[in-house]
Amino acid sequence: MSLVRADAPAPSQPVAEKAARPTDRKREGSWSAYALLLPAGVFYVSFQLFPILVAFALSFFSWDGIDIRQAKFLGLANYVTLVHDGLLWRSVWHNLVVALAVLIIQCVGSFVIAAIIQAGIKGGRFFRLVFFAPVVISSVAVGMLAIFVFSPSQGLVNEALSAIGLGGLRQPWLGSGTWALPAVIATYILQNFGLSVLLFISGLGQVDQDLLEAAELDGASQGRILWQVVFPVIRPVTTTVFLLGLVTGFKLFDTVYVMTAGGPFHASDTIVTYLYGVSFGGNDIGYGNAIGVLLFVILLVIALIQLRLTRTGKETE
Amino acid sequence: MNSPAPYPDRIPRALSRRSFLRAGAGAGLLAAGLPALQACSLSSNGGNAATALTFMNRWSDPNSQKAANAMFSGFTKATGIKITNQVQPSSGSTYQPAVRTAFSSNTPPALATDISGPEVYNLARAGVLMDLTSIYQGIKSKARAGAVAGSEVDGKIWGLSDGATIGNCVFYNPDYLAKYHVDAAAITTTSQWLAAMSHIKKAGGTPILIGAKDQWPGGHYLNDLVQRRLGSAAATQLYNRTVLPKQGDKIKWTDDQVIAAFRDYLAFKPLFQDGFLGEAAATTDGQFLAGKAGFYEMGSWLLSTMRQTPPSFTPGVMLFPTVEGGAGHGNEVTLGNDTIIVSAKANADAVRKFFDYFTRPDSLARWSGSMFVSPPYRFDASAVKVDSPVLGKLFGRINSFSANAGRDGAALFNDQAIDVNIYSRYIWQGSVGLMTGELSPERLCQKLEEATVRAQRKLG
Repeated sequence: MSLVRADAPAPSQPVAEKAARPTDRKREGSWSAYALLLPAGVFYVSFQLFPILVAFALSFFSWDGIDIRQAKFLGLANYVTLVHDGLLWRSVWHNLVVALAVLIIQCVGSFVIAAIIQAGIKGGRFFRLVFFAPVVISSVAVGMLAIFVFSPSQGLVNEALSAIGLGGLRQPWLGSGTWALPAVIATYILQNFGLSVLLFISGLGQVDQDLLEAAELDGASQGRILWQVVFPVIRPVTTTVFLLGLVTGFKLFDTVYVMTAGGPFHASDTIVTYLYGVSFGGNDIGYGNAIGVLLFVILLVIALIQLRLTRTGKETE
Repeated sequence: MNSPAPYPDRIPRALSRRSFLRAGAGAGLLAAGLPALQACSLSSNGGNAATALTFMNRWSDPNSQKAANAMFSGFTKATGIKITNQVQPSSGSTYQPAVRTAFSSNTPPALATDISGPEVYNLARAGVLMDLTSIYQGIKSKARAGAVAGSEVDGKIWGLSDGATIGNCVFYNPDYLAKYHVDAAAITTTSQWLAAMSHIKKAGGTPILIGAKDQWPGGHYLNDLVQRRLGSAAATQLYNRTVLPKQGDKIKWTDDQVIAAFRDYLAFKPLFQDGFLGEAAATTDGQFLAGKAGFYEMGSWLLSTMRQTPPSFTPGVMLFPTVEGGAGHGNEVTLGNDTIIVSAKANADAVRKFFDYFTRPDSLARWSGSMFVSPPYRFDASAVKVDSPVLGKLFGRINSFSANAGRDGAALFNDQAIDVNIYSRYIWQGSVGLMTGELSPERLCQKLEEATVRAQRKLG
């Protein structure tokens, strides 16, 4: 069966030649597109894809990181160790705690703050700046400051507790198995809070005021307006804030490393600080890479969830 | 009739397939060639040129930098060979990985300082270091004991000391102690010491400080107590099991004396300052120098901190007291031996000239006085100039510790002697685990022994 309609005029030879030209041009155009992509492609392959593949391959070896010729093939031994490594799973748990804290405190809290600022309170711009300022400060600098804030002998937190008559609650924050992780989480969230606030402000700015007024006129309660008018509009922003927090929470390293180095006795270790300790403290690059592969899988799952959520959002629209 | 062009003039000159392939091949060659070119240029700059050497080091505090720069410029003046100073942050947890990474790269520095012991053994075994045996033969007549400690593998020399520090020092504040009628000079045993500190604590004072948050300060106590319980020779034997093959198991981590040493550490817990687990060592350095406590266990490198932050009193210093019933005597010292390693790619002639210059008596006297280290080579100690009389007196006393230690009275620090994977995981972190109560001495020693057996199996 021919795809050409029977009543279509037969093309003359010159027309056929002309018709072939766009295809050639198209092909030539795509060559130039490839040429333009090449430098970025070379960098991507060299510094992203290749290291990922090498890391995956090294996870099957025992290697001290000095001479690759001395690497010994272990098969799945590193992965067997990984499954039975209590300290690693404790680190994974810590990451989940961070993710939960980010979900509850950062997402909910930053939405509330953004809503207050967006409602047009006096000094809204000032507060926007105040919340965003820590975002532009290096996390190492923030971590160093936090060490002083949480210092048991001369830290702001303990001094403040004593000043208000709660001296009995003074803690060796960063040296306490119970409090080290919450102190790190508080620092991390305070630093990244501003970005979420800013994202929510931009999201809330997209809510059509006419729609809100119409809902109010129809007698909808504030809760219903929030749930059925505002949230559908800011859903993409909410998804972004949540997943951004989750992904960066799982990659959390610098704040922890600077503040506690994962201590005391692994009480604040995250996957990446543990990975760093194993690889560069303990010289066990093979096992470190196996942990890296585990992290890769976790982040891949999060990315897939993000894709799914984004797609569902689009379908709903 | 001319038909309109199917595409506007947005892409005036599209690439042909041939041009694309040519461009691609060019880009590919460039991508592959650039790192190689860079490697060649760096290699010739840092490694093979007789007129230049790169020197990676952790002499990053202002005084050390000043001393290093003076030494480098003196060397350049004497030989015409320039030194590029690749100074790095001083933290052991980042510097040692940086050295490993640098020496496993194609463009290693010509020289680097590193802690002696397993770090050097591993690099030597990997074949990335220059064999310094013949260079050492040339300066052997100037060398003292310790010049090659922790740098010998299979009868060859892979590093030469640039100076040793003493790790098991206990600094004290005589003015603070006097308030509680404690005389540090009368303390010779840990029982006496603990009793004196308990007395200070009961009287409302702060007997001793520790920055336990940084983990390694706790490792110091495990080091000192094990050395005092076992003696230097046996402690070294125990540590060597983690890094050298065929060491046998005459001394194990699970032996009573080792467990007792770890248990001794727990006795200090109530005497450390409030919140000690959350305090950084840099903070406790400052607190001690500000006169906030009676004692402070720290290495002799505290003198460098004192030079930057002069203490509010005249400090005293003693060695970690003996443990009753222990085989170690009170004069035995723990050595932190800093060693200079050399890349296999470096220019041997330039390196030889460097060591000849470095071990000259006048160079050593300047180096010793400005860095507060004891280089294990012959030089006139009276020529050492220290700018502060207080520091000069302390430095003299610390030097006398090594002189009085006796022939077999020194052991390498546990975090220099033990396999890095074992000390970082079980000694540093383990010392915190003991203090938080998450680990008992018995359990920690059990874990250390298991890790050591695994290491022995790996070493064959």
